[in-house]
Amino acid sequence: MDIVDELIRVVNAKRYYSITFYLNTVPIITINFGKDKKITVLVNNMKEIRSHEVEFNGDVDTFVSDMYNILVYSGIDELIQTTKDPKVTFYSEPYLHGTISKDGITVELDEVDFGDRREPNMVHKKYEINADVQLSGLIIPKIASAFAYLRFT
Amino acid sequence: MSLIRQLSRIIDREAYNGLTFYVNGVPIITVEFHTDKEVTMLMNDMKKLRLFDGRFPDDIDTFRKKIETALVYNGIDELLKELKVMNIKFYAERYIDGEIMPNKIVINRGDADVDENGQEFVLFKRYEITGAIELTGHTLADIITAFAVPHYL
Repeated sequence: MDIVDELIRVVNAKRYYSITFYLNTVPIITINFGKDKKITVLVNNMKEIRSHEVEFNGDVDTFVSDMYNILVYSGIDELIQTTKDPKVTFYSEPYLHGTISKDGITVELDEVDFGDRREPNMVHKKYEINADVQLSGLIIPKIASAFAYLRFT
Repeated sequence: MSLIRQLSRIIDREAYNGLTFYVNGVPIITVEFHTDKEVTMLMNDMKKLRLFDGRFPDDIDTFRKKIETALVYNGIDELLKELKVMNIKFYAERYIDGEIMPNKIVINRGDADVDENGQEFVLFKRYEITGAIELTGHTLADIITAFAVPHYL
């Protein structure tokens, strides 16, 4: 199973409208999943902030390729590769945190479960997806595509 | 004399297509002035990247208020207060850069010219504005408005 499928299995919710990626705590990408499968990608390459639009047509590979082109063109790929000790994390409302490392992706999410008496309980879940991950601009489109797939299909 | 008017004298009739503000080397706002009086403002409140699309309404005061409201609503004003920022830099292609400090703005403006051998060179001029200048969204809205004026009026 590849990393996108693993993420889709772990996240498994349509409720995420946007996702932000951080490089050493500075937001570098925010992806907003809009209506009609339109996606706005805002990028911060540490020189300026830019905006791009991309569409999700249901094909994960095409989306990954389109997103990767944006990240290369806007200098994000180079930024990640030239940063010393890069730590890439991501966050999506409500309550989803992720960390990307060379050994894989860790996803932590809080979910509300209802007990026997219908009382709400907050459950904290942690998943580790083990894979040989190269910390470059390519891993981000893969993660984003899992969220786009869940949102639009 | 208002800050917008003082800045307008320095910018002159030069139309800069984009303007970026930085705090501690990190871009927090990029403004793009498009044709058709459309303005895009991309913001980084250090939590996520945000997008504001607006139109220049032919009235300087209304535009200034719109921009200030967007900066407050998108968390930029709060970010400046939270970080106790004492220095904001800005840059616009080609070539103007500035530094906003409490009660002072320093601007370096480069004018491209051609010497007798046909070689292009840039002549930099330095300007200083002193007055009651605070490092808030209000001041940033004044500066953005001053840069918008040569485009649209």
